[in-house]
Amino acid sequence: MNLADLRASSDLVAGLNDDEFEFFESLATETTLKPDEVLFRENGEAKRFFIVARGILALEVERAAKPSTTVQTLGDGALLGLSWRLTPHRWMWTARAMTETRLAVFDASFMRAECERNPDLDRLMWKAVAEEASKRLHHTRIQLLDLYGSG
Amino acid sequence: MTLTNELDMSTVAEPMLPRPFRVIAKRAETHDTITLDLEAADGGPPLIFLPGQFTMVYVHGVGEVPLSISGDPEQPEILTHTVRAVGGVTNAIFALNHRDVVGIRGPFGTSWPTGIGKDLVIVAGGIGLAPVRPVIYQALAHRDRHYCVGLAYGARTPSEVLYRDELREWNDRPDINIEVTVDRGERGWRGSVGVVTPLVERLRCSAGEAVAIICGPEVMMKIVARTLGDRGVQRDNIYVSLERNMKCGIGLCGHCQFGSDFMCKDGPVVPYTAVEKRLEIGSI
Repeated sequence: MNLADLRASSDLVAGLNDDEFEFFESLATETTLKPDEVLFRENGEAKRFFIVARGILALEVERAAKPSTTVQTLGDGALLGLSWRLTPHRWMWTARAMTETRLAVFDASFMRAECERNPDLDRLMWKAVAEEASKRLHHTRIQLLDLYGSG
Repeated sequence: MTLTNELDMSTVAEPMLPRPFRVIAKRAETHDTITLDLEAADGGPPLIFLPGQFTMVYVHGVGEVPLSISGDPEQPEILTHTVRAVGGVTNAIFALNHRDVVGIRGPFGTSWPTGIGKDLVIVAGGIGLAPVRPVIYQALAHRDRHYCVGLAYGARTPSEVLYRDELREWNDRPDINIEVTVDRGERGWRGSVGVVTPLVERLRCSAGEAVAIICGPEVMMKIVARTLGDRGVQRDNIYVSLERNMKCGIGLCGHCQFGSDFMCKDGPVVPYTAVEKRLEIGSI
C-alpha cells in the first residue's frame, strides 16, 4: 500500500526515514470498511495492527444484552490495535467503523519478529505505541474531568 | 491590556440603568438550558452589539447576571441569550415565559476578532458555543472574508449538544466545516466520542493562516490553545473568552478583576498570550 498520504496525518509515518518508509510500505496492505463493519472484536487475538488512512472508528465495550458503548473514536492517522505490542496480545476493545474507513494493515507476528531482530525498529515501534497510548491517556483524563458538567 | 472595541459606545446611554426587554420566544436546548429571544419593550432602539459581548440581565426581584449574547449581530432587533440554569437568577430566567419582561444593561466587553482575510477556526465546549455563535453568523453572512471557516464543538453527551438543528444546517453547507464530539456517547449516537482537540485537524483550515477563537471551560481553553500553538497557529492569533464574577459591567466595582484587568471591560475576549500565565495561578 502507498503510504505517502499518511505522512500528513500519522506521526509514525511522518517520522520514518527513507529506508524505514520503504520497509513499512512493503509490509502494508490496505483494507476498507463500510460503516458499522467491525475491524476486530474485544478479546480477539491481536494478529494485526493498523494506521487509519481515512475515516472514523469507534472503540467500544460490549455489554451482555445491551447495545455496545463507544468509549472513544479515532480518526485519520491514528495507530490502532496497540495490543499487538503488549502481552497477552488480545484486543481490549471492539473497533467498529463509523464511516467508510480506509486503513493500512500490518502483520503483528512478522513485525514482532522483525523488532526482535532489529533494535532500531524495536525502538521505533515502542516509541510509536507509547506516544499513541500517552495521547489517548491524556484525552481520557480530560474526558474524566467532565468539563462540561454543570457546577 | 485593552483591546480596541469597534462599537460606538454612545449607544450605551446609561450603563447602570436597565432597559426593559420582553421575551418573544423561548426554545429548550437541553434539560437545563434555554435560548430566549427578547425585544426592546421601551420603544427604544435595538441593542447593537459585537460578537463576544455580553449584557447584564436583571430579573426583577431576584437579581442580575452577565450573559453572553448568542444571537445574530446583523439582526440586533432580536436580542438572544442562551442560559443554563445553575443558580438563583439563571433559574429565574429559565422559568420566564412569553411576554415576561427583564432588565438589560449593555452591551459590555470586548469582542472576538473578525479575522478578515484569515482562516477562522472556532473551538467551543459545552455552553461555550453560545458566545461564539454570533461569530459564525457573521462569518457566514460575509463568507468572502475568510478562506476556511471551521467549528469544532465538544459537549458532555449527545443530549447536551446545543443548537442541534443549526449545527445540522451548517453541516450541510459546503462553505463551513463542522465537527462535533461528546465526552460520552449515548444509544444512537453516530458521531465522535472524545475530546475536542483532535477535531481541529479535521477542519482542514491552514494553521499558519488561522485566527483561532476558543470558548468553554478554562481547562479546555488552556489545553486547546496549547495544542493549536503546537500545531502551528500563531500564538498572537489565539483568542479566548474569560468569565469572571461581573457585577457592574463597566469596570468600577472590581468583582471581575483578573490580575491587572477587569474582565467586564478588558475582556471577556482576550488574546491568549495576554492571560496564559495568569491561568496557571490558582489564587487569582
